[in-house]
Amino acid sequence: MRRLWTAARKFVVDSWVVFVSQVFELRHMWVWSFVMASFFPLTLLGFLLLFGEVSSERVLYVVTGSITYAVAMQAGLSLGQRIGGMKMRRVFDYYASLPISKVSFICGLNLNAVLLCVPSTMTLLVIGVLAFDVRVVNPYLLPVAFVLGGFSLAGVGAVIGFYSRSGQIASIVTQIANPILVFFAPVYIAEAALPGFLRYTAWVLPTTHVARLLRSAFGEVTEGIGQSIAILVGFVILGVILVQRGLDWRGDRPLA
Amino acid sequence: MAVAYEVVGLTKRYHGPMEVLANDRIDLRITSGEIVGIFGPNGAGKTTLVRQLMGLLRSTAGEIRLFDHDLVREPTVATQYVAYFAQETYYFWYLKPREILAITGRLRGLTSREANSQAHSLLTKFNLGNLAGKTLSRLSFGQARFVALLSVFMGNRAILILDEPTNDLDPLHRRAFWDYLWEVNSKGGITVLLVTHNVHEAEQVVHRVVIVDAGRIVASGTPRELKAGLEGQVRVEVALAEPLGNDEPPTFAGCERLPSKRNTLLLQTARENVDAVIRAVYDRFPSGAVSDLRVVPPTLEDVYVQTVGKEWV
Repeated sequence: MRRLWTAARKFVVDSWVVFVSQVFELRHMWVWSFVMASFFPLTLLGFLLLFGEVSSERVLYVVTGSITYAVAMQAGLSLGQRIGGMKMRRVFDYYASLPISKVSFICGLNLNAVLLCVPSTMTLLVIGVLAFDVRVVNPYLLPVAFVLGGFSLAGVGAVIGFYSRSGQIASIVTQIANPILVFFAPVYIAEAALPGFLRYTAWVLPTTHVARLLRSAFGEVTEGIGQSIAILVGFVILGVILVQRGLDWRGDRPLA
Repeated sequence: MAVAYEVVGLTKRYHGPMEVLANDRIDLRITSGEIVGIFGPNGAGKTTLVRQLMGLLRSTAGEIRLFDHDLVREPTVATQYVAYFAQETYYFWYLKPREILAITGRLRGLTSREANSQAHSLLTKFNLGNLAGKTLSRLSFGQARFVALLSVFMGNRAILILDEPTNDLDPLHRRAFWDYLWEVNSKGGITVLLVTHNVHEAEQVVHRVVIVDAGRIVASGTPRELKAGLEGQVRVEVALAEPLGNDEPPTFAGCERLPSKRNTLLLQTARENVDAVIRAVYDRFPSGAVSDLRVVPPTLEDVYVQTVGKEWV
């Protein structure tokens, strides 16, 4: 029992220190990171709601879709690019030469990515509530959607970052993954509006379930919530497993 | 003395379109408390060797024992005993010196208080307190590298593996580093594996030298043992007022010409031949062309050049 406690404590401390190291490392770009994660979802939100028909259902989809987009972009895709950059700078050599587990490292990175989306998602949430009069009906679902969505999408970004052969490839793959995550899933539109085959493939995209949880938080039908939560938990676990396998920091490759 | 590392038949082959045999059946024993210099030309396999000793690279064949552990089977064990300084150390640009040291200490198992205290001591010792508020991105390359280098001392590991530690450092920081390395070795019994091209400086601190070329150990021993092969030889260093032209460099009877620098001609000759060589040099060059001439005993660098037989890089 004592060994288990020591191991758990070490895991938490190591993850926290990795998280802190990454927070410090990103301090020069916090503002830009916020602008990047907010700008495109905010632009899309404005574009979709200022032009064309505005119904309460449409507002709900656009606001929750924009928040989902911000989480996908910040927690997922920018993490993928960041990991690609870390790979190029051989940052893993530093962490691999320290007595920490891969899981601690991954959790610290993911936590950092998830917390980085707080400002942009909060901004979009406030705009949604104040400007477009959406109401939070099931507030407990907001943190659930945020935490599970953030970690599952961070897992997607981390998988891209760790499995890509180089930083450049990670950057390209994240650009490809971006529209797939957002526009191939019922994020901005209802599931019924998706083309037939996408209704099936959308189930394997975490954004589908994050958007559904957010819509439920704002009062849409709440059926299938348990299923979405279970799927997102599965994504979080799968992400950690895949990254742990892909993080070959005791690798076989030459330096150059 | 306990054996820190016991390496037997270590082989590393990089597969791919251009297969490379980076380490070829290397046998090496490193005793606790030794400072061992690993020298060799670029591409000789030094970094590949130390990355395997750090558990960062899988071996193709062979054994590595670290104290009582089989490092090939349990590569993470190295993190408990060894601190590693890699050639490329620009991991963190936006951390401040105290932060990078404290974070490294924390991840090596120190408490927050211990890590901060050790970081403070190191920064104070090297008069880096004035840089405390700056991120590494605002320091010079040399300063940033020196801070990263200090992080190997965090957490008091029994073994340090340092890959080109003094690159980019100015002479004062290099000297301070070598002095401190000597201090932690002599007082704390820390074992050090030192990969460097700076043979001349390293000669002052190493107990033993291993020269690696084309993936194999081609010479090993104490500096004195290795230099014994050049017993009876001296080096004549001729500093010229003007750089040597592009013409064929001059040769002198009974001398071997060592790779020369721009304004300096390096000649190796038998001790009894020195007078004749000096006369020949002054005969060869016009009056005033030779600005300085020194006769020095052979150095480890001479041993290196003779052993590897390539231009110094």
